[in-house]
Amino acid sequence: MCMENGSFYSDGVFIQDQLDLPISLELRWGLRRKICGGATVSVCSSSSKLFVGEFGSWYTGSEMPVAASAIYFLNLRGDVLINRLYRDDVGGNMVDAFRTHILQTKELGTCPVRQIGGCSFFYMRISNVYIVIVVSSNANVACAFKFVVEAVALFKSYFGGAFDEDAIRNNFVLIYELLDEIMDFGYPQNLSPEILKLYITQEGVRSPFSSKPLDRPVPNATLQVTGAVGWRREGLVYKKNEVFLDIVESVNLLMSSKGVVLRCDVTGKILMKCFLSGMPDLKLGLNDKIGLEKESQLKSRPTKSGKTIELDDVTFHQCVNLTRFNSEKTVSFVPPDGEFELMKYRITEGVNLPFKVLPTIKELGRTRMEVNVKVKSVFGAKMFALGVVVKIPVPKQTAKTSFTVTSGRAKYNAAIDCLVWKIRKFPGQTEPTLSAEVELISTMTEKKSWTRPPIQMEFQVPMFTASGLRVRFLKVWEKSGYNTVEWVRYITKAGSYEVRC
Amino acid sequence: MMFPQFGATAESLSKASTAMFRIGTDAHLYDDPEDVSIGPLLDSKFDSEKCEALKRLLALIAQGFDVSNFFPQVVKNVASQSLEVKKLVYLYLLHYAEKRPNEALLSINCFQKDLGDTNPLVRAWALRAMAGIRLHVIAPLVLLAVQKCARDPSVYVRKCAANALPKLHDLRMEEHASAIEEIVGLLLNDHSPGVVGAAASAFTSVCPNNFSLIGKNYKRLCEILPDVEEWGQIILIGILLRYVIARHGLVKESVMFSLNNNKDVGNLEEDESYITSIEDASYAIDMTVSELANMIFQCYIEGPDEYLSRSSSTNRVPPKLDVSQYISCSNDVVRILLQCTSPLLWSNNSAVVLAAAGVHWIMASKEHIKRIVKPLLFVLRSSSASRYVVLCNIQVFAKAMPSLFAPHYEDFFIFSSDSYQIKALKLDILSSIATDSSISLICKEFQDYIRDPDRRFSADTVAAIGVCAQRLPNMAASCLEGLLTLVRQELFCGEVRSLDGEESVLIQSIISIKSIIKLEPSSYEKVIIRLVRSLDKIKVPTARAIIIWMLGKYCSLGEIIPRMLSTVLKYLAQYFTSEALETKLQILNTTAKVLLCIKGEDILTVRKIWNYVIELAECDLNYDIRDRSRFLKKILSSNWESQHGAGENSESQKSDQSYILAECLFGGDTKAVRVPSEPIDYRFYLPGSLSQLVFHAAPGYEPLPKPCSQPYTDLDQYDGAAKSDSDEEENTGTSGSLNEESASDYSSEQSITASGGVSGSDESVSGNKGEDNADPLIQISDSGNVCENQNGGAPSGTTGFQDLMSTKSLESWLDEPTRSSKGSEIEQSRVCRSSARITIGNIGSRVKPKCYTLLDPANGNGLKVHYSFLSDTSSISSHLVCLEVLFENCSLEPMLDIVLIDEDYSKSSDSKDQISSPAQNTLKFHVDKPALVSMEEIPSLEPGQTENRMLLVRFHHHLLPLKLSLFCNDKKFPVKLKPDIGYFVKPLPISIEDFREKESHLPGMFEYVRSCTFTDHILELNKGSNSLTEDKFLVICEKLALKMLSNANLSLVSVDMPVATNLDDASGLCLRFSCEILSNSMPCLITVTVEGKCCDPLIVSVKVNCEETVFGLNFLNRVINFLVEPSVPHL
Repeated sequence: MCMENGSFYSDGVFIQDQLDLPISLELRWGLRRKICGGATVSVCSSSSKLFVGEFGSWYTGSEMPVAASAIYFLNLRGDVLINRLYRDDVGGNMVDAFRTHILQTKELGTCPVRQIGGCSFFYMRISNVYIVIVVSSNANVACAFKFVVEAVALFKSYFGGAFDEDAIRNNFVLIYELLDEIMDFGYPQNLSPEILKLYITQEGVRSPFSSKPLDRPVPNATLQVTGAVGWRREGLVYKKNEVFLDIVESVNLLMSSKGVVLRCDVTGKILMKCFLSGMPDLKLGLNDKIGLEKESQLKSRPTKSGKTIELDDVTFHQCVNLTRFNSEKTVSFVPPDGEFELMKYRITEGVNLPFKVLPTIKELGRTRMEVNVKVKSVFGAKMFALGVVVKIPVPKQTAKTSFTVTSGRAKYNAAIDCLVWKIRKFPGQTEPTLSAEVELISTMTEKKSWTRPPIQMEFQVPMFTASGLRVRFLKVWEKSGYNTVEWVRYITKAGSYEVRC
Repeated sequence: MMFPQFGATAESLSKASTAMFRIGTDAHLYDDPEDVSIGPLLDSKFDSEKCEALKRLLALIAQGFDVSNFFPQVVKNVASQSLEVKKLVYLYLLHYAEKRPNEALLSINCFQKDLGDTNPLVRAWALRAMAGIRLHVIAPLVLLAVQKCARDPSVYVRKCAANALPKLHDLRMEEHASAIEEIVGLLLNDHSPGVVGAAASAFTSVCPNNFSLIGKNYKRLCEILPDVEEWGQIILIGILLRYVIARHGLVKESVMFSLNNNKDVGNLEEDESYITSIEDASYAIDMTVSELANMIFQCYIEGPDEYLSRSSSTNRVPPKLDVSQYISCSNDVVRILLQCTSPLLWSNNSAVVLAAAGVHWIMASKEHIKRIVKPLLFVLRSSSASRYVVLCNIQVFAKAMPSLFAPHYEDFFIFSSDSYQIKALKLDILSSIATDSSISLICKEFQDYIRDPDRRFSADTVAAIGVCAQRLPNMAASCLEGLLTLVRQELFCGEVRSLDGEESVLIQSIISIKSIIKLEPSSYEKVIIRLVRSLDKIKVPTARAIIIWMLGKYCSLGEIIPRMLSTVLKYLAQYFTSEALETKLQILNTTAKVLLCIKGEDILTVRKIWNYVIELAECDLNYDIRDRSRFLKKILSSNWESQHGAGENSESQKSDQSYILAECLFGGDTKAVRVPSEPIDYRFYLPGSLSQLVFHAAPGYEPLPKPCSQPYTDLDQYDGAAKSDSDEEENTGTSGSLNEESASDYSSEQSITASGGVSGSDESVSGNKGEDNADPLIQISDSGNVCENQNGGAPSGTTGFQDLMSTKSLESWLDEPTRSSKGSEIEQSRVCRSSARITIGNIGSRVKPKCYTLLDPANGNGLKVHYSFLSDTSSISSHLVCLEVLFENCSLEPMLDIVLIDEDYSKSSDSKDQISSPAQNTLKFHVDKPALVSMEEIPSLEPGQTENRMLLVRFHHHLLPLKLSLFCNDKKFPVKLKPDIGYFVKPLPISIEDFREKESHLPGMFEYVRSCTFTDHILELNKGSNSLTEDKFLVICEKLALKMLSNANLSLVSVDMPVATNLDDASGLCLRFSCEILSNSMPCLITVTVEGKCCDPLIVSVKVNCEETVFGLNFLNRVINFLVEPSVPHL
């Protein structure tokens, strides 16, 4: 509040607003500031000033470290499972600060970057573990988060799937060794699992559910990384040379209750599993527009008819030669051994929606509701979707529900305030319906009209791509000229598939 | 193994089953690390047992136990042949090395042995562990190891060597700094991308500003960039960006430039039209977009704290970035950087994308900058934490250049799964990129958001609507309509609820309405009325307060409001006692405002209400309200009385004053005052940095380097040997001959700081005048000699040519690494360009202090008075500044009794006795009052005659002119003596070493830098017919020194001359001056560095190191002022 009585004057200038204008919450540029600090606008701006003073004195700015000082793995209670200090500029009690100021407050989960007493905490929750990076100086935040994501992926590849508290306990020696290798003095290092296997002496303990044995090469006496390709070692030999290519798409949709598409896009990724000998060079051809045009230009051949996809948002794994993609629009690469994510893309135009949802929800007075939902599958009749779940929100004070469904099973889940309708196998070109009656408890406190969150859907449709993307070819070239077997799979999943009702 | 009994719960069952599954894992070690005794295991013969023991130790460490007592036993195992054991020992060692330094030293021999192992893994691990121990004692050993490993055939080992460098640097081994930097250079040159990446991170922490290392490899580094590891890419991009700016400056076509030069925005159609539309509408958004963008970029270069302190202190005009600090984007250097970073926009690593986008944002031209949009939007798909970071950065981009993201507004629509932080960011971005075409869709979205169960978020949405309406005036009306509906709804629903946070939506909507009304109050009269009518229903105090404020603010607006005033006030007065604090205050204010502007028959009613309210308020429990009411009563009651007794003049003046005061308080325009206080809230830091997320400079944050701050040497094609050879010859030639000619009278005058008595120095100066034309100005020497000369030691007459050009100086001229001579080694690394140090000879004789006019003959009946500051210091008190005053009679009559006295003093006493005794006066003066000490009266001055007088003045750091009275022929002429801060100091002759040392004690906040352009030398260089024989550097040097010494009382410490490959490039020329503040004898050091071409205006950056902050800043400003002034031929 700007209405302190005492300060009519400030620097000899009469500030009228001080007396006059009751502004407190006006949304300005400072919206974010307000949130970060938790309390109010005025408090935060002053605290930020305070910090400046605090830091300015002892750091003259001659140094520019960009690195993490420590990394902690905590369980949900806040007990340290494993920690590694990379620099000695943060005290050991920093994790206590994190526990008291973040874990035990409401702030948790709102802002992934917090500052306490001159240290910054970047934290992420992964299953039932918090990974916290502590930094004492100016750092690249995006880099830190990316590191955590990559590190978790690495751990998972070692543990064979799950990353949780138990997995950490089971593999703590391995994690210690990995932490020593993937981050040096706070600077992230090579996180490619294939290469790391050369340096790591510990064996990961796979969870008993994954039956695949670990084919880990023993760290050899002579190191084979030449440095030409940082993600693949030389001298790999496979009896059968195989490549697996999975195109996994997730559809994000927001539809109005009248069936108008408000926004819709597809984010896809191409996952590869390579079991190839030697140093193969791969080239991938998709039915994307630019690539095809470029190709037809080069070969002076008219573009083939058929659907072409406009891929404009793409990101690639580090192995893809970006310069060549920039000039020739071809995806060529020397793949890492084993599993990796080759590329990610996004498509906003011409998306084939697999499902349409037509809801009608009527509130009949204060205590009754009628819900009718029809879900229509739009893909080919020969295909089918798996694991379809439709979540229809109902008010908190739902007391009793009764259903009739033409297919699948439905029930009321009070924990998420939804009617959950599950259909295990959902053939194309069908339209099952659900109709339900909901009885509500009449309460005095909740008089306000119900806000009606959107209906959400989950599904998987194998052999279907919402974008229409197809692999045209995958060429493998290697000095020895062996034959390869290529496998391609397509699958479309629901991302955030929401329909307003 | 315990199996569950019949009564076991499901939980214990699952526990047991996990226990089953964990057989054969390390978990048992983690859970019961002290199961067996560890000591004997460590001494076991078997590696497997050692491993188990070590694992148990690690588990104990992980759980926070101190197991350092095992240290000796563990260290023994470092010699093990098993890689696994080795690794585990290393992990343990690194954890405890600092606690047990003595035992840690035992392991060093083993490491040394391992460094020679045939297995690269062993070598690399040994190096890493050794560097990781980080004890000061072993640092030199580690350095040797790193030096060796940096040339290892294995990539992995070289990479480890690069990684060891920051650790070494962190031990603060100043004496080895140059050796470390050398290794950084070597590794940056490596052909393996992996090593280059690690070397880049070493570079940022070891020597972030040693751009010569980058310059040599710039092109290669750019080309290798896509192959470097992702993490290295991020760092390398940052380094390259800094390098380009420091060496080459900013890009002319970039957003940065076009927004800095507002006239030049023509090529920016979209934005331009957008900006003008804002300006035309002249509405209440505090900053236009271009101003904001300008500020952002200023912040990038200067760092927000510096920028803000400057803008808030005096004038907000940024230092003009000179055109020469810009290069075109078609420039190779920039082109390569952009070309090599643009593929990285497709990287899978969001941090890399962000870094690449940052480079484009700062360097790319307007057309190319669009490239960053889609990749940035795509990165929004990654993990929620990364999404938050990216959004924070997009927010800044979108604010500065809304057109960039405007077409993609749909990407910022909110998902129900977004966290609140992300929602709020998206809202803010949406409200700043909305355009007339997209606003209707955005508003539809907003309507959905308002229904969100999270009330905090809906309140933010309401605020965002308000902002949109302010940005796009066309939408204001419909937004307002929506908000009013919302208020009504909230009122309707709000009656029952009293939950926390529920009211925030209502409050926020009223705030938004208020800000829309502010745009154009007259057309929204009805809205105000509606709000006022709803006062009865609105119970939330803040909301009520705002509505009441609006009533007061617009009380004279339109026709209906004035008529309803008295009724409303009656209502307010009636409920005054039951209101909340803030509402009460606003009721008081509003009543006062109404009282001031009301006319007609209501006036009596309002007065009654006023009296009633004030009475209530004066008895209020809250002291704020009591104070406010008394204050208002005081101010307004007199006004009221004056209206009553209009006839009485005696009262009217006083009441007029308070009336005006009241008018100022309540009637004025609020807008003007708010703007300057606002920028404190804005802090901008480089994209991607932590500082940008938390809004203050995190330690270690560095803004971009000053454009062109690093002298540009074309090191890419550095084939310097031949060129610098010829240079050297030429320079030594001149200097040698100069020396020989002049050898005789160096000692006292070459340092201009002759600090002898007043008369003595006068004589010596005049004595020199005759012969100084032939004197050499420059003496070249290496640092040792300078020291000698400065101290006025042995006259350097005997110093012959050979002596001067000792091997040491020769080496320094050639910029060859002088490994043999340890003394210069550190210096070499510090000064990245070679330079020779010279002392300027008897330039002092040519120093002519500037003359100022005290009295014009036209104003002074023919008496002309000039004054100039003298470089002498007073013998009476060190606080006095000496002036020479020159009286000249230009009239035809003789003049009598001319005397100058202090005006204040002449007021207080007329008796001249007191004035004539200076010693008494100095005692009597107030310490902080400027005062004149003494002046000998001039009994008479004949026509045409001139007379000199010395004047001692005590300014005491007052920078305001000193008012004096000049008496002549019994007439009084008021005159003003302008102080010159340049003479508030006295020369402090010190050696360059002392200078360096003092300078190093005055870092950070005691250091101020400004730059300006210097043009004095151009005339000289152009007219100089003897340009072949004359060295341009010497001319510049001389002119610069003259200018400095003629305007301030300084001592020239040293001159560093560049030995450039290019004779036209004066960059690197550096003059050092020193002085001492008169009043407190604090040293004040001035370093003047020159950049630019000889024949063009030079960019001179002046650095002042001074402990007294205010003085230092003022002094710096003064220096800049006189350097910029074109030189006037001396009188």
